[in-house]
Amino acid sequence: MKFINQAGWDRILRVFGGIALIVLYFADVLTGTLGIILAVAGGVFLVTGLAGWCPIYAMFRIRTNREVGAS
Amino acid sequence: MAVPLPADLDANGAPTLLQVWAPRCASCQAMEPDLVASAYAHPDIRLVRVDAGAEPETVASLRVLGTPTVIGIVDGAEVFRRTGRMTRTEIDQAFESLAGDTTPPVATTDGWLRVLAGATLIVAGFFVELSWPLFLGGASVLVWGTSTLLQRST
Repeated sequence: MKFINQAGWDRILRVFGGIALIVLYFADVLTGTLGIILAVAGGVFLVTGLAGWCPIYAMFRIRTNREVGAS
Repeated sequence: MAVPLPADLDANGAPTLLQVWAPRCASCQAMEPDLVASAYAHPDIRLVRVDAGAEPETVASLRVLGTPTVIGIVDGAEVFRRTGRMTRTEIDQAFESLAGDTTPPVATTDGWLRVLAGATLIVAGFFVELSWPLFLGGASVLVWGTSTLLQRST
Protein backbone atom coordinates (compact mmCIF):
# COMPACT_ATOMS: atom_id res chain seq x y z
CA MET A 1 0.00 0.00 0.00
CA LYS A 2 1.30 3.45 -0.88
CA PHE A 3 0.62 6.48 1.22
CA ILE A 4 -0.13 10.08 0.40
CA ASN A 5 3.05 12.16 0.63
CA GLN A 6 1.85 15.27 -1.24
CA ALA A 7 -0.09 18.24 0.10
CA GLY A 8 -3.26 19.44 -1.65
CA TRP A 9 -1.52 22.42 -3.27
CA ASP A 10 1.25 20.13 -4.50
CA ARG A 11 -1.24 17.72 -6.11
CA ILE A 12 -3.33 20.44 -7.77
CA LEU A 13 -0.16 22.07 -9.13
CA ARG A 14 1.06 18.75 -10.53
CA VAL A 15 -2.31 17.73 -12.02
CA PHE A 16 -3.07 20.96 -13.83
CA GLY A 17 0.60 21.64 -14.69
CA GLY A 18 0.78 18.14 -16.14
CA ILE A 19 -2.45 18.61 -18.12
CA ALA A 20 -1.15 21.94 -19.46
CA LEU A 21 2.10 20.35 -20.70
CA ILE A 22 0.22 17.44 -22.35
CA VAL A 23 -2.33 19.72 -24.04
CA LEU A 24 0.40 22.07 -25.27
CA TYR A 25 2.18 19.10 -26.83
CA PHE A 26 -0.94 17.84 -28.62
CA ALA A 27 -1.72 21.41 -29.72
CA ASP A 28 1.72 21.50 -31.42
CA VAL A 29 2.86 24.39 -29.23
CA LEU A 30 5.58 22.15 -27.75
CA THR A 31 7.38 20.36 -30.56
CA GLY A 32 10.45 18.27 -31.25
CA THR A 33 12.48 16.35 -28.69
CA LEU A 34 11.94 18.99 -26.02
CA GLY A 35 8.19 18.77 -26.63
CA ILE A 36 8.21 15.00 -26.13
CA ILE A 37 10.30 15.31 -22.95
CA LEU A 38 7.95 17.95 -21.54
CA ALA A 39 4.86 15.90 -22.51
CA VAL A 40 6.27 12.81 -20.76
CA ALA A 41 7.15 14.97 -17.73
CA GLY A 42 3.57 16.28 -17.83
CA GLY A 43 2.26 12.71 -17.82
CA VAL A 44 4.43 11.85 -14.82
CA PHE A 45 3.27 15.00 -12.99
CA LEU A 46 -0.36 14.13 -13.80
CA VAL A 47 -0.16 10.52 -12.58
CA THR A 48 1.82 11.29 -9.41
CA GLY A 49 -0.50 14.21 -8.63
CA LEU A 50 -3.62 12.08 -9.10
CA ALA A 51 -2.16 9.26 -7.00
CA GLY A 52 -0.93 11.68 -4.31
CA TRP A 53 2.28 9.68 -3.97
CA CYS A 54 5.63 10.71 -5.42
CA PRO A 55 8.37 8.03 -5.59
CA ILE A 56 11.11 10.68 -5.56
CA TYR A 57 9.68 12.15 -2.34
CA ALA A 58 9.54 8.66 -0.80
CA MET A 59 13.13 7.98 -1.84
CA PHE A 60 14.39 11.10 -0.07
CA ARG A 61 11.80 10.88 2.75
CA ILE A 62 10.21 14.18 1.76
CA ARG A 63 6.57 14.90 2.52
CA THR A 64 4.79 18.13 1.62
CA ASN A 65 1.72 17.09 3.66
CA ARG A 66 3.62 16.69 6.91
CA GLU A 67 1.42 17.39 9.92
CA VAL A 68 2.41 17.67 13.55
CA GLY A 69 0.29 15.32 15.61
CA ALA A 70 0.36 14.91 19.35
CA SER A 71 3.38 16.89 20.40
CA MET B 1 13.48 16.46 11.38
CA ALA B 2 14.17 12.85 10.40
CA VAL B 3 15.76 10.71 13.06
CA PRO B 4 17.81 7.52 12.47
CA LEU B 5 15.31 4.73 13.01
CA PRO B 6 15.72 0.98 13.59
CA ALA B 7 16.43 -0.91 10.36
CA ASP B 8 13.14 -2.83 10.45
CA LEU B 9 11.18 0.42 10.14
CA ASP B 10 11.62 0.58 6.37
CA ALA B 11 11.00 3.73 4.38
CA ASN B 12 7.81 2.56 2.65
CA GLY B 13 6.33 0.50 5.46
CA ALA B 14 3.00 1.01 7.15
CA PRO B 15 2.54 4.06 9.36
CA THR B 16 3.97 3.14 12.73
CA LEU B 17 3.43 4.23 16.30
CA LEU B 18 6.59 3.41 18.23
CA GLN B 19 6.51 3.42 22.00
CA VAL B 20 9.65 3.34 24.14
CA TRP B 21 8.76 1.93 27.54
CA ALA B 22 10.43 0.49 30.62
CA PRO B 23 9.23 -2.24 32.99
CA ARG B 24 9.56 -0.03 36.08
CA CYS B 25 7.92 3.00 34.46
CA ALA B 26 4.60 3.67 36.24
CA SER B 27 3.31 5.98 33.50
CA CYS B 28 4.03 3.27 30.91
CA GLN B 29 2.00 0.75 32.90
CA ALA B 30 -0.81 3.26 33.39
CA MET B 31 -1.22 3.95 29.67
CA GLU B 32 -0.70 0.31 28.62
CA PRO B 33 -4.42 -0.70 28.46
CA ASP B 34 -5.35 2.43 26.50
CA LEU B 35 -2.44 1.96 24.08
CA VAL B 36 -3.39 -1.66 23.39
CA ALA B 37 -7.10 -0.84 23.01
CA SER B 38 -6.36 2.02 20.63
CA ALA B 39 -3.96 -0.19 18.63
CA TYR B 40 -6.75 -2.76 18.14
CA ALA B 41 -9.07 0.04 17.02
CA HIS B 42 -6.53 1.14 14.37
CA PRO B 43 -5.39 -2.08 12.64
CA ASP B 44 -3.81 -0.14 9.73
CA ILE B 45 -1.25 1.40 12.08
CA ARG B 46 1.63 -0.75 13.22
CA LEU B 47 2.45 -0.58 16.94
CA VAL B 48 6.11 -1.21 17.76
CA ARG B 49 7.22 -1.29 21.36
CA VAL B 50 10.83 -0.89 22.43
CA ASP B 51 11.93 -1.89 25.92
CA ALA B 52 14.42 0.81 26.92
CA GLY B 53 16.27 -1.56 29.26
CA ALA B 54 16.57 -4.38 26.73
CA GLU B 55 17.39 -2.24 23.68
CA PRO B 56 19.55 0.70 24.87
CA GLU B 57 21.23 1.11 21.45
CA THR B 58 17.87 1.55 19.71
CA VAL B 59 16.79 4.04 22.37
CA ALA B 60 20.05 5.99 21.93
CA SER B 61 19.65 6.06 18.12
CA LEU B 62 16.13 7.43 18.59
CA ARG B 63 17.49 10.09 20.99
CA VAL B 64 14.84 9.19 23.53
CA LEU B 65 15.52 10.81 26.89
CA GLY B 66 12.67 9.42 28.98
CA THR B 67 9.81 6.93 29.14
CA PRO B 68 7.14 6.65 28.00
CA THR B 69 7.94 8.22 24.62
CA VAL B 70 5.62 7.78 21.65
CA ILE B 71 6.93 8.48 18.13
CA GLY B 72 4.79 8.60 14.96
CA ILE B 73 6.59 7.33 11.85
CA VAL B 74 5.45 7.58 8.22
CA ASP B 75 7.62 6.57 5.24
CA GLY B 76 10.47 5.94 7.67
CA ALA B 77 10.47 9.54 8.91
CA GLU B 78 9.41 10.82 12.31
CA VAL B 79 6.27 12.96 12.08
CA PHE B 80 5.65 13.57 15.78
CA ARG B 81 6.99 12.74 19.20
CA ARG B 82 5.51 12.91 22.68
CA THR B 83 7.19 12.09 25.97
CA GLY B 84 5.15 11.51 29.12
CA ARG B 85 1.92 9.83 30.05
CA MET B 86 -0.87 10.20 27.50
CA THR B 87 -4.61 9.95 28.00
CA ARG B 88 -6.79 7.63 25.89
CA THR B 89 -7.97 10.62 23.85
CA GLU B 90 -4.39 11.70 23.17
CA ILE B 91 -3.41 8.17 22.17
CA ASP B 92 -6.41 7.94 19.82
CA GLN B 93 -5.46 11.29 18.28
CA ALA B 94 -1.91 10.07 17.75
CA PHE B 95 -3.17 6.95 15.93
CA GLU B 96 -5.69 8.96 13.91
CA SER B 97 -3.09 11.51 12.81
CA LEU B 98 -1.16 8.58 11.26
CA ALA B 99 -4.30 6.93 9.86
CA GLY B 100 -5.17 10.22 8.15
CA ASP B 101 -2.27 9.61 5.76
CA THR B 102 -3.83 6.45 4.30
CA THR B 103 -7.40 6.56 3.01
CA PRO B 104 -10.44 8.61 4.19
CA PRO B 105 -11.15 11.47 4.05
CA VAL B 106 -8.39 12.01 1.47
CA ALA B 107 -9.96 9.45 -0.90
CA THR B 108 -13.03 11.64 -1.50
CA THR B 109 -10.79 14.53 -2.50
CA ASP B 110 -8.81 12.10 -4.66
CA GLY B 111 -11.98 11.09 -6.49
CA TRP B 112 -13.06 14.63 -7.25
CA LEU B 113 -9.54 15.66 -8.31
CA ARG B 114 -9.42 12.71 -10.75
CA VAL B 115 -12.92 13.43 -12.11
CA LEU B 116 -12.01 17.10 -12.64
CA ALA B 117 -8.69 16.20 -14.29
CA GLY B 118 -10.41 13.64 -16.57
CA ALA B 119 -13.10 16.15 -17.59
CA THR B 120 -10.42 18.79 -18.26
CA LEU B 121 -8.53 16.41 -20.55
CA ILE B 122 -11.71 15.49 -22.45
CA VAL B 123 -12.72 19.15 -22.89
CA ALA B 124 -9.14 19.97 -23.96
CA GLY B 125 -9.45 17.20 -26.56
CA PHE B 126 -12.27 19.14 -28.28
CA PHE B 127 -10.10 22.22 -28.64
CA VAL B 128 -7.05 20.33 -29.92
CA GLU B 129 -8.46 19.04 -33.21
CA LEU B 130 -10.38 16.17 -31.56
CA SER B 131 -7.25 14.56 -30.15
CA TRP B 132 -8.00 10.89 -29.40
CA PRO B 133 -5.12 10.41 -26.91
CA LEU B 134 -6.53 13.26 -24.80
CA PHE B 135 -10.05 11.77 -25.01
CA LEU B 136 -8.88 8.30 -24.03
CA GLY B 137 -6.58 9.57 -21.27
CA GLY B 138 -9.32 11.85 -19.95
CA ALA B 139 -11.90 9.06 -20.03
CA SER B 140 -9.53 6.72 -18.14
CA VAL B 141 -8.88 9.32 -15.45
CA LEU B 142 -12.65 10.06 -15.27
CA VAL B 143 -13.43 6.35 -14.73
CA TRP B 144 -10.64 6.16 -12.11
CA GLY B 145 -12.08 9.14 -10.23
CA THR B 146 -15.66 7.86 -10.46
CA SER B 147 -14.66 4.44 -9.12
CA THR B 148 -12.82 6.14 -6.23
CA LEU B 149 -15.95 8.12 -5.36
CA LEU B 150 -18.17 5.02 -5.64
CA GLN B 151 -15.83 3.06 -3.36
CA ARG B 152 -16.04 5.87 -0.80
CA SER B 153 -19.87 6.01 -0.94
CA THR B 154 -20.36 2.25 -0.43
